Amino acid sequence: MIELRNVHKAFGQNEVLKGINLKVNKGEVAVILGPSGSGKTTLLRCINFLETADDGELIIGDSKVNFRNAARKEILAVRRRTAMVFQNYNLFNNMNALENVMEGLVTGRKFPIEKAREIASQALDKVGLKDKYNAYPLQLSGGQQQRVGIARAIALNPDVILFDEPTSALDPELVGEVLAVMQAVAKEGITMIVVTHEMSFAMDIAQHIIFMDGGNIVEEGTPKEIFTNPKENRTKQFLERILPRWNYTI
Amino acid sequence: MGSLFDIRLVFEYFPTIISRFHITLLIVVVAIGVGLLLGLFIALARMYKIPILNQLSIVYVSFIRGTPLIVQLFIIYYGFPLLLDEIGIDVTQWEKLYFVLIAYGLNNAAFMSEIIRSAISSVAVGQHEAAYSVGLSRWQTLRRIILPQAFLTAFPVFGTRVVTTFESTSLAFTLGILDMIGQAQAIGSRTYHELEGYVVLAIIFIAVSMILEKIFIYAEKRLILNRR
Amino acid sequence: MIFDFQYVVTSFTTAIHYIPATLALSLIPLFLGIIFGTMIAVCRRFRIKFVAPLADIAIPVMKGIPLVLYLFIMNFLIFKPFDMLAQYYAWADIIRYMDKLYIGIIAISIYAIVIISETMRSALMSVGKGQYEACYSVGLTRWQALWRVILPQSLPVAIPVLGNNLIGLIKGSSVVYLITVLDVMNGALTTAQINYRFLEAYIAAAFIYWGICLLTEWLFTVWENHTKKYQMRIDKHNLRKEVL
Ligand SMILES: Nc1ncnc2c1ncn2[C@@H]1O[C@H](COP(=O)(O)OP(=O)(O)O)[C@@H](O)[C@H]1O
Ligand SMILES: [Mg+2]
Repeated sequence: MIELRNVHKAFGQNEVLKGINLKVNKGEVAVILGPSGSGKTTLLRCINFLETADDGELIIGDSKVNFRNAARKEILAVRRRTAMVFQNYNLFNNMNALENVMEGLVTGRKFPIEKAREIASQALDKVGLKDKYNAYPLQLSGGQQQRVGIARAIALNPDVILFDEPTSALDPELVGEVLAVMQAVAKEGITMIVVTHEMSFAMDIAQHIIFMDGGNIVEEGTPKEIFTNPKENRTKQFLERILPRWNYTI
Repeated sequence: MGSLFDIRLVFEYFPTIISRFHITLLIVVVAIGVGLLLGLFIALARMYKIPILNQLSIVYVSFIRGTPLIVQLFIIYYGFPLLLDEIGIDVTQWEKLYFVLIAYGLNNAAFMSEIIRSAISSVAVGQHEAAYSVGLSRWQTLRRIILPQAFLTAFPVFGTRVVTTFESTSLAFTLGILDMIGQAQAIGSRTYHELEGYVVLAIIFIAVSMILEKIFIYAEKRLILNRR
Repeated sequence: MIFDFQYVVTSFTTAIHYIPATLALSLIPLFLGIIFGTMIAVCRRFRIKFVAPLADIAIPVMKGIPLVLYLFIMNFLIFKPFDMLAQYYAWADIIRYMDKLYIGIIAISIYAIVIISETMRSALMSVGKGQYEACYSVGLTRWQALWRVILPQSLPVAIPVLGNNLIGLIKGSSVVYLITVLDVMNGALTTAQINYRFLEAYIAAAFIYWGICLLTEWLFTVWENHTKKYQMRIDKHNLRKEVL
């Protein structure tokens, strides 16, 4: 279980998160929707401490961290319970696929090399890259790179994996392979928080939809609640824009 | 002989030393001017692969880049008179400064040609093709499309080169030129208080190179703004 | 006096014996420059307290001082005190006649640290923010990220510039003849002191420096290609080439 309490974050005068309260249950797939600039990325980055929120609390499993006075050790501990899949993959350019996946295990968590290699190769097999262990990032297609990114995250066996628009940098024909991998990960019961504009993924895979706008969570609920019966006007407007034919298909 | 360092002497030497600044400036200006002209010539010879000139340029640039400036200074100083003597020009009356100017100019030309060449080759191939496709000639393409774009790429590197040239003038005194360093040395050998002179020099060199850098950064910003 | 190639050969054969001195005057500073220059650059990149703001001021200031001034100042600071002591103590006199090579090495090293710290700084900056974030996201600490990911990726960017830096040091080291250190330059001139064939001596020196620099350039190209094997599409223009 992961919980955020009253999370605030501002960049200078620009208040980006205005008191976020959010609870995602263990094994749940939560999708965050919202217009560009609504603070989705910032929220994920705060959970991973790539940004330090100005105020609020983060609870992951049995550990609780206050953003105001998080010690370096606590930050590292939270990071080791979370993993992130980046929009532009951010694979380590100086390492091949296998080394990319092993790095967090070996250097971060001090796993023995052999053990790490075993876990890493299983993760790569899972994302369908059995034959790409030795490929360097620049030798891989975008879709393959992102699958390595996902393997890198699942190998860490984190309490939650954060996905920030994992398919939006991909050519359209490569989106499918990544979504398929994400679906497989979801089936394994790993907690996921996903920012995406792929509505099919949100409708079919997620159990929990969160709609953000202007730094607030405007509305949340099950896909059915949000997609068929949104309560808030802003949600309706957003869905109408992003699913222009949605009204007709249902 | 007394103490090693006397701060009052720094102030005392300062006007005497900076009074030779114009020599330094002259070397920089000539070096950059000659360097730009000759450098452009070398760059074009290499880009358009003009026979003989191309090969000569390659060797020339490699030699200048691969040997110390001091060595070049002295080779010009001792070698140029011999060379000119062959064609009947007597240079025994020439001032040493002329040789220094020639040496710095020739030295800079090699570096400038490299800057120009890499800037021109950094302009995308598509730009050439686009220009040819609308019917511009090779020269028109160069002048209207390529050089203006290359200029922007080259500008910051050019700025670095000017600063480097300024710092390299610190070697002109080895030929006996009475520039700022020559002056400081002269004071030093007269009074045995060399350190104060060096401190004055350090201050001047730091100040001028920082000012030059600021000017070029400012100019670069303006250039980019004007582009929009 | 007519130019005589024979004297170039004479000078050349004398001067090559001093190649080790010239190499010591450039390779030791390169080594120290890489160690301390990288440390300074890393401190600036990570904004380490006190060190980073200090370096922000000191490095640009020190960059403005020409090498020959470092040499004169170090020569003065190291040498003059002994010179004065020698008036009173006989042992100090020994220092006066000692090889001044070490003064050259110290002066050039200071210069090299300044220059190379700037090289390493731009090399570090060529590694994008995303790489740091990816490191943190898999639970690496700052130093682990630096050691495992950032430095290995900076190296291929730094190598060609370091090659240029080294060539600059090799050429720049020739100024030590001004404080009577026997390097290639001074070695070539020893013959000219006797036969007054200065032009030939300088040409001999030029050939040796040229050879060393070409060799250096080639070695660094090989090294660069070796480290770059995984970055086939690295952008060559993302670092301003400091042409020395
Ligand atoms: N590092 C930053 N510095 C300043 N402003 C930022 C930074 N990151 C994001 N912002 C601002 O925060 C707001 C929300 O950004 P973001 O979280 O990326 O939104 P989203 O991912 O929903 O599009 C935007 O207005 C953006 O300009
Ligand atoms: Mg975003």
